[in-house]
Amino acid sequence: MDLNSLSPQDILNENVETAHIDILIVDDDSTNRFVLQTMLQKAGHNVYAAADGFEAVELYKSERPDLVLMDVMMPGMDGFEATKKIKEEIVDDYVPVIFLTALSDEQALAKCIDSGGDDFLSKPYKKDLLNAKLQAHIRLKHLYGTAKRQRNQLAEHNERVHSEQVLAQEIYKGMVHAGCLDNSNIQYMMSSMALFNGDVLFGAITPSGCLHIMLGDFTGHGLSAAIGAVPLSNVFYTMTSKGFGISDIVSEMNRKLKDLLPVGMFCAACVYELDPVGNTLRIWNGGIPCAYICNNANTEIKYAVKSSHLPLGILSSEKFDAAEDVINLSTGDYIYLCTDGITEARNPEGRMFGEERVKKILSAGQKQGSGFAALRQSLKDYCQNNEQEDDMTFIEVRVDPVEIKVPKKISTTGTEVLSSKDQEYPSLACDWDMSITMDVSVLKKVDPIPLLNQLVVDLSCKDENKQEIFLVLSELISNAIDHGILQLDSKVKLGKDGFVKYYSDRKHKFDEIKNGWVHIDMKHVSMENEQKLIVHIKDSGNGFDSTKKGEELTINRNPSGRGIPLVEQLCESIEHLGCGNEVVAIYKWS
Amino acid sequence: MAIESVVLDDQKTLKIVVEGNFDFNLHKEFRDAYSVLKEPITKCVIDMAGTDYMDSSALGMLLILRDHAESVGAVVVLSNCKEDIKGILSVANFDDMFEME
Repeated sequence: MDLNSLSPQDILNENVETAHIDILIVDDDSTNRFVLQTMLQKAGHNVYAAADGFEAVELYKSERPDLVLMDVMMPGMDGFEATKKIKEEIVDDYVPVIFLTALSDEQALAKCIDSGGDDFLSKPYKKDLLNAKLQAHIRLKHLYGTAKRQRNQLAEHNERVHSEQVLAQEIYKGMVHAGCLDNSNIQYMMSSMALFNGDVLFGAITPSGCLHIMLGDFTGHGLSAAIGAVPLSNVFYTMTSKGFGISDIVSEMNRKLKDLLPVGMFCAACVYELDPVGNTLRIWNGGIPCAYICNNANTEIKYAVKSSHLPLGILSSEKFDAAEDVINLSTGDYIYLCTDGITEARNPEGRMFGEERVKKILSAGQKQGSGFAALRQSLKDYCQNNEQEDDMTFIEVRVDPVEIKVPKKISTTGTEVLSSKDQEYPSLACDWDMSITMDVSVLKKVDPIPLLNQLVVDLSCKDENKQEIFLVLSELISNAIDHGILQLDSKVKLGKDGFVKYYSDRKHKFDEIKNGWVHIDMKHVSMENEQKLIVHIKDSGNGFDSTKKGEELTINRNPSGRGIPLVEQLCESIEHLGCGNEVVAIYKWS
Repeated sequence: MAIESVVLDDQKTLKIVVEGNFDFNLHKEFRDAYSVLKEPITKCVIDMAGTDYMDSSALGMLLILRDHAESVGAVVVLSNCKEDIKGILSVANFDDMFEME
């Protein structure tokens, strides 16, 4: 019978009491064997009988009985030896061996147990006592079977969960990828407690060449924390590739997480945009330890950007504050971000690594390399082999000098060059055209550049020209808004912390202004060998004096700005109309 | 018990005292502690004089409590926070969300 199939209820119902098992009896005395065999068979058990140790081992191997009753003194192989050999045969099962012995001294009885026996019964044995012992061992055997089955189930379950997690992790990696984090100016470490990481780290380049970095830390660890990373990754990479700024991105992330996550779960996050041209950092920090900006030349922290917002997923969209800090950086600065898993990492004495220590290491002015290696080593030395209690993530980004790559112009091959004159293009047959006028009240709420860019990309081009078209549109539209409607002066950018002042002026003017508009006409014309995008933008501003145009362009040629010269290089033609408040640009590709 | 709660004599204030580490392990105890928060109680004071550390799941628990308190017309007040705890609350900007005393 299969004892393993008995349930605990069976035992309680005493079904085991009447359980019939296979028993091997070993005795060199034929009378003893006969008496025992008869007794056991009457009780319903199936009996195999062996006359000595050798026979016992052979019978055990061939019949695999459930229990053995073993005589001690036998010629040839005695009971101790036979028991050892039988026990060697047993793998992961409980097969009790009960010695039947006339011996009564304690040493001999101890030897029974030492040789692998489970119990002993003194000869001459009493029937009731024998039956009681048998039942006790059957119960033990059943218990062993149950434990073994449960252990196996648990092991199987663990194995299944693990392989499912490994698979899920693969899928997760595909969805929550690290983007451009392998760029040469970026170093990072992520150390997760579980298979799934509750910290997220993303990096991507915008169409205009800015670097977007996001570091997030979800409440909790493991799978539940990691699931929330999927929508974040989606929002981050999609919106970055479409040219949205970080305010728009964090707002959208907050909205998504607020919808998805239960109350009490949220994501502390820091998102920033590094514009390599202006060396401007726009940063939003909600719940992540200070972002530090350091330079190897200094032994001080240049800036510490404290968390000034609630984490993502807590506030409703109406209450959410997406305002970013703007900081002017220099080439060679390092931007550091870490999650609280680092600051709260504990040493074997239970003390935390601490923010002060992080600050000290980063501000030490590294003789060689950057603070990244120093912090990593210091953290390792501090924690030693102490068990990790939280996901830990740390990223360093170096502000590198960047030359704006102006893509080569597509050569025009003999086709009739279209004049850019305003009055000529309306008569052309075109693939599509559109016209939109936006009041300043709309512009305050919505950045039109990603929207219009996406429209053009979807309607007219695939990936290859996306970046150039984005640059053209964003420069022209930004110009119309900043210098047309808001009347901002580019010269502000040239001073110390110029970009920071420029952005704060811009924000201030945007808050103040009540009237203004921008009108945008776009048209896509397909010709035999080439495609043209004609962009005509007009704003409500005063335009600019053509005598000052040169000055304007000089400023824009300065490394701190791209502006019109870039558009000129990318476009077939660009022409200012009206009082300078109108511009027509033609972008061409084959 | 790391958490003890008592309704003060005025019957309007529920006081919850959190000792030691305020983290996920206290999830159930904390939830049990504020289960009595309903009318006529209008104020729930979390006394953190003895709280040494709190993690993000504790911040989450505070948010859940805040949600519950709002639904029964009560306010949540965090009191007697040590400097370390204030630091954790301020990094997450929770000091704007909760009344502190």
